[in-house]
Amino acid sequence: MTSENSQKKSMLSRRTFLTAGGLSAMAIPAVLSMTGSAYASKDSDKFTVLNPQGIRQPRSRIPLSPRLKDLKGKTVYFVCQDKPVQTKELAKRLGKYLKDTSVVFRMKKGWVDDPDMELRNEIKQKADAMIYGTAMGGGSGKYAVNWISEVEKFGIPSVYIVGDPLKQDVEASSGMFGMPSMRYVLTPLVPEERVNEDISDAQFNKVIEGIIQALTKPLSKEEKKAGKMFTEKIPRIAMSGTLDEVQDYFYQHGWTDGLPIIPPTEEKVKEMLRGTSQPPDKVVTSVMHPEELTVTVEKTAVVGVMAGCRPEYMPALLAIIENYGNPAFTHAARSESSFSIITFFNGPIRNEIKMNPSTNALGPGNRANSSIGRFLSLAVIALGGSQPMLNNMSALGNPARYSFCFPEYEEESPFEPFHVSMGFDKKESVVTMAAGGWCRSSIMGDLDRIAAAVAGFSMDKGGIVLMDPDAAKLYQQKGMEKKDIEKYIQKTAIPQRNESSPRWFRLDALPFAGNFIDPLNDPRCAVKLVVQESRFAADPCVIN
Amino acid sequence: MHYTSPPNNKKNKLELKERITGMKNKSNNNDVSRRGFLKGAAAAAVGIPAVTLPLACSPGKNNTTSAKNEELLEVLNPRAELHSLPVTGLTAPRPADLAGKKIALLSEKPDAAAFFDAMEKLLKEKYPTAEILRFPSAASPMQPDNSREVAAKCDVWLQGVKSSGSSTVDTEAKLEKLGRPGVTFTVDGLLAQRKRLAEANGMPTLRILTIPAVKFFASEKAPDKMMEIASFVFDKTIKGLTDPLTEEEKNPAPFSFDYGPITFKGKSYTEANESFQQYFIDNQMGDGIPLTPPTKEAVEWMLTGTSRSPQEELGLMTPKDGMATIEKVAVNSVMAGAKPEYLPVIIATVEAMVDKHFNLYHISTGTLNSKLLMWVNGPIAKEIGMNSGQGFLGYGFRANSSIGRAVSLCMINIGWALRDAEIGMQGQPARYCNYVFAENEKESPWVSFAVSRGYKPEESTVTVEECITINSLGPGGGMDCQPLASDLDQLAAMIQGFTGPVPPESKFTGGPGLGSSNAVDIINSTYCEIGIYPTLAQQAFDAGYSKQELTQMLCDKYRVKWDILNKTQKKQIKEAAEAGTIPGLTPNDCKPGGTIPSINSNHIVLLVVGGTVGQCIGFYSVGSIVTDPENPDAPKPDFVTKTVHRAALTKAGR
Repeated sequence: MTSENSQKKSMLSRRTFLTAGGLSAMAIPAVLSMTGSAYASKDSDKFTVLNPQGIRQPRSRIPLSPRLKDLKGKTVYFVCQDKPVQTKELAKRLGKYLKDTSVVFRMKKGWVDDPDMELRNEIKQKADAMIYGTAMGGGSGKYAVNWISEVEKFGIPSVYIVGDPLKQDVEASSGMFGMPSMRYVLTPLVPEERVNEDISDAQFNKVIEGIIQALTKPLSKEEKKAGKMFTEKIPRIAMSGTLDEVQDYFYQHGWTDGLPIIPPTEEKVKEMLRGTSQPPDKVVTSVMHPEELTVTVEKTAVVGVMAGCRPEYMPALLAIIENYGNPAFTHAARSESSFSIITFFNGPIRNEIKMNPSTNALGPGNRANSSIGRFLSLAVIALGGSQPMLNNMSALGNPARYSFCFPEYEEESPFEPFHVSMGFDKKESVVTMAAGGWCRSSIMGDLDRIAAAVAGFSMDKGGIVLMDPDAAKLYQQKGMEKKDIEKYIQKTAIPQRNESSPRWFRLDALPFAGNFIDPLNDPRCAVKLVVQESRFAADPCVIN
Repeated sequence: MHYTSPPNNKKNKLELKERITGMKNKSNNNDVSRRGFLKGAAAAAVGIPAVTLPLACSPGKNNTTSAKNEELLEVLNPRAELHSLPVTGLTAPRPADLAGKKIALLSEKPDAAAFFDAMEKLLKEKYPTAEILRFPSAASPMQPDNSREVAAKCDVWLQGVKSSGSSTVDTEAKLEKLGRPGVTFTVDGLLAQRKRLAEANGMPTLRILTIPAVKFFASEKAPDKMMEIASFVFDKTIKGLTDPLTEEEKNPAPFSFDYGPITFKGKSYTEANESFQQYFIDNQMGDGIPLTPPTKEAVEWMLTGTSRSPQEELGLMTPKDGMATIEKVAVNSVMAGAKPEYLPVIIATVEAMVDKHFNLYHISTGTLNSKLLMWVNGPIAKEIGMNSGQGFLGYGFRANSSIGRAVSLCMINIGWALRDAEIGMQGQPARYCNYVFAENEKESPWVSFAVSRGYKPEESTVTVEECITINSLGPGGGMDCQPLASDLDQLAAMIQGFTGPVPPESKFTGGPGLGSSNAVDIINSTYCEIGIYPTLAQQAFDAGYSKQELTQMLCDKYRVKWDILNKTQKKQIKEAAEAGTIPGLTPNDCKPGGTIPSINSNHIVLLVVGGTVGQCIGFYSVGSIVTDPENPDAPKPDFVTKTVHRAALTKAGR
C-alpha cells in the first residue's frame, strides 16, 4: 500500500467517525474500517523488510502408480493406524461388497511414526492395491501420507481414508511429500458404538464407491506428472511500507501470531547477525516443522528481529532452531492437542543475556525470557509454515504459545543443574525444549499434592516440576536428592491415573520422542525437576 | 484433483495454500499486498535499498552515510493517573516501654495463629504486666473491617503474617490513623508487594518486618519451630513498637510521576524505536515483546473505533487505583497491536474489570499466577474477526491476540500491577494474551451464554472471569469418537478434579480448595467455565439435554457424602437447603447417607466453542465474584458481564 493510499483510508475512517457521531442507527460498511489501517505517514517511516519464510527445497514429484482395471481377483490390503474407528466396519463391508476380491485387514504396529517395514514389505510382495485408514488427529496425517507415498513408489495404487475434519491437513501433507494429487476419500467420524446407527448404508456405500474409484479410475495427466516441485524462489525482500503496513502484510500472509513485530529491515537483521560468527547463508536446519523447511542463519536473524530479540541472543536462537528440527517435534507441531513448546536454558548464557530465573520467570516482563519465547513461536509460524486449521490442527489453541521460556535458577539450587543431570558439562550452555505447555501451577503443599496434580493432567505424559530453591533445600535436608524427589512424584502419581489412559509419553531432556513407555519401570523418569524461584517455598509449579 | 481451495472464512488472509507453500497465488485479488510485494522485489532487483536507512549496525565508527537528521519518536504515556490516597506519614507516637500496655495480635490467616502463639509467649515472658489481646484480621476486602474495635481496645498492635499476594494493608493503615502504633509481618518474598500496598494506602513508611518464607511455611504445624522464627524477629518487633519515629517516617516524600508524552531519539526511526522498546521494558510498561509505539496519530486512529469521549472515566483499576479513561485504554490497545474496531470490546472488558463485583485484585496481585478469562457474545465478535472455532485460544488471530494483550497491558499500566511487586510467582505464559475467545453461537444448538443470562441476541457483550487453572480434555474428545455418556462423564470428572484427582470430599475436609471453613462458601465460591466443541454440544442436544439440564447433570455426577461434613458444616448446609439457595440441594439430602453438590450449578457455564476437531476445556476459579465493599447487602451477580456500546466502526455494539 502506498502511503498516499493509506492516508486516504485513514481519512476515510476518521471522516466516517465524524459524520457518524451521534447517529447510532446509521449503517456504515464495516469493511471500510476493517481493511483500512494506518496513521503513519512520513516517508522516513518506511521500511523495506526481509522475507521471514523458511525455504522450501525443491523435491521430486511422485507420480501416482498406474491404477488397476478392476478389483476382481485382486488382493487389497486395508492398513490401519493406531485406534481404528469405523475403518474396521468399513473393511468388513468392503469385503462383502467386493465378493471376488480378497481384503486383508492389517494393523500397522507402533505409534504413528513407526515405519513398520515388515508390513510394508509384505504389501510390496503380496498386495495389488492398498487402502490406508486412520481416524486419529492432526499429528498423524503427515506420517500416513509419508507411508502411502512409499507404497505408491512400489507401483501399488493406494488410497487414504480420512476423517472429514482433517481434509486440509491431508492436502497440506500430501503436497509436502511431493504427491499433491494423492487420492483420498473422506469419511464422517462417529462414535465407535454408533457406527451403524449414525452412518447410513448409503454413506458407507459412497465411501466404498470412492475407494473403488480411487483404485481403478485411470490417472489424469496431472496425476501422472513427475519432475521437480517447489522450484520457485522466495525473493529475499518481502515488501516495503510503513510500520502499520508491515504489520498488516505480515499478518495477512500468515507470518505472525497476530501481535506487533519489529520490522526486519536490512539494518536490523545485519545488527542481529553480529551476535553470531556463523555465515548468514549457513543452513541451521533443513526440517523446520511443520513443513520441514530449510532455515539459514539469516532467516533466523530475521525472525529474531521480528520477535524483539537482541543480537546477543543469537546463539540461543540458533540452538532453538536446531533443536526444533528434531523429529520429536513433528507430531507436536501438527497435533490437534494444542501443544506449546516449553523452552528452558541452563549454563552461563542465562546470565550473559540477563534472563530472569526468579519470580515471574514464566510470565511477561524480562526481554530475554519473553522475546526468546516469542521467537520460537514466530519461527514455527514463519520459518516452519505453521498455519492454524491447515497444518496446525490445534483444537483449542494455547495461550502459552505466544512465549514460554525461562532459565533454571542454578545459582540458588542445591541440586546439580538440569543439563548436568542430562550429561552436559556445567559450563556448557544448553537449551531444553519439550512439547506440552498446558501449564498448571501453584500447588500448595507437599510432594503428594504435586503428584496429585501430575496425575490430574489429561494428557498422557509426564511433567516438569518447577520447585523453589528453598523448598529444594528443605527436601535435601530431609535426605532427598533430585532423583529421589522425581521418583517419588512419579511413583505416587502414576497409580492415581485414570485407568482409561495408562500410557505415558516419556519426557527426556530432549523432546519427547512419542514412544509409549511403562512409566513405573522405565528408567527415563517421566517427571523432571527444575529449580526456579517462586517466592514461596510451598508452592511449586507443575507443567504438563 | 484434490487441490481445491478449502473454505476460507478469514477475509483478510490470503489463500491458505499460498500461505503454506509460498507459491504465488494466481488469482491474487489482494491488491494491497501484491503491490507492496512487487515494489519491494523490484527495488531489491536493482540493488537499491528502497529506503535509505543508515547502516548504523556496523561496529565502531559512525557510518558516514547515516541520515543527517535525528529521528524523533514521541509516544503518549500509557500509565494512568493514580488516585491513591494522599501520602501521610506515621503519626501515632511509639510508647517508650511495653510494660502494662495492651498488645493486640491480629492474625491474618489461620496459618499465622501458630506464629502469634509463639509471639504471645515471648511477650508474656518479657512483659508480665502487659495484656495480650487476640483478634482476627481482615486480610482481604472480602472480610469485615474490625479496625475500630481493635483500636478501642489496644495500645499497640502486631499484624500478619502476610502469606498470599492478594491480602491488603488496609487495617494497618487505619489503625495507625486511629493513633495506634504497630508493626506488620510479611514473608520475605512479599516485601516489595507489601511496601507497594502501603504506598497505595498513602502510608509508605509503615513499619514492616519480614520472616523467611521457607521457614514459615515449613513450621506451620510445628510449634517449636515457629518459636524459633518468633525469637528470631522478637527484638526487631520490640524495636518496631518502641523506637521513636524518624523525620522521614513522619514526612515521607510525596509521590510524583510525569504523565506526559515520552520522546525517543535515534539516528534512524529503527534506532528510536529500539530505545522505545527497551525503555518500556526497563520501566515495566511493557511485557517483553515488541510494542507498537503509541504515537499521537496512532492513538487518534485507535480512538476512531469508539464514539465515546477520550476523557470519559471508566473507573479505578486495582491494585494501585489508576483511573481508566478511554484514552488510556486506547494508548494501551495501540501498544498491544489492536485495531480500532476492537476498541469497544476492550473498553467493555476494562469496564467489567473495574466493576466492584469483580475481584481483579486477586488476578493482578495474587500468588496463584492466575489470568483473565473473557468471552464475547453477540454479533460484534464475527464483525471484528474474533475466532470462536478451531484453535480459538491462539495464536494467529489478531483480534483474539491483541484484545487479550491489551487487557494485560491495561492491568500493568492503568492498574499499575508492576511485575516486581505483583505478578504471580513463577509467572504464567498465558498472561501475555490471556484467555480470549468468542462463543461459537452459529454452531451452538443452545442459546448463547448472554441470551441465557437475559441479554438480547443482537446485543454484544463481554464477560470476565478469573482463571486460576485450566484442564483440557485432550484426546478423549471427538477425535477418539467416544460415546456421549463417556465424554460427559469425563467433563463431570474434570469439574471435580481441578486440583488433582482428589475426591470432592477433600474440599470440605481441609484438603485442596480454599481456606474457608464455611461449607456454603466452599460450594458457592467455586466457578467453572467449560468450553464444549459444537459436535459434542449437538450430540448432547440430540440426546435431549437442555443447557440447564446438562449443567445440573454434570454437577450432580460427583456429589459429596453428607457424612463427611463436620457438625458446623452440616448446620450451614442444612440452613442453605431450607432456604433453597443452592440448586440441587434439598433438606431431604441432609441426612446420613445423603449427598450434597460440591459446586453451585449456577456457577458452571457451558460455552460452545471450537471447531470440528473436538476437544473440551475447563477453566476454574475461586472467589472471583465478590460483594461490593461499599454496598455489602446488595446481591452478588453470578458473573460480571458488560454490553459493548458506542462502537463507531462496526454495525454491532453501537
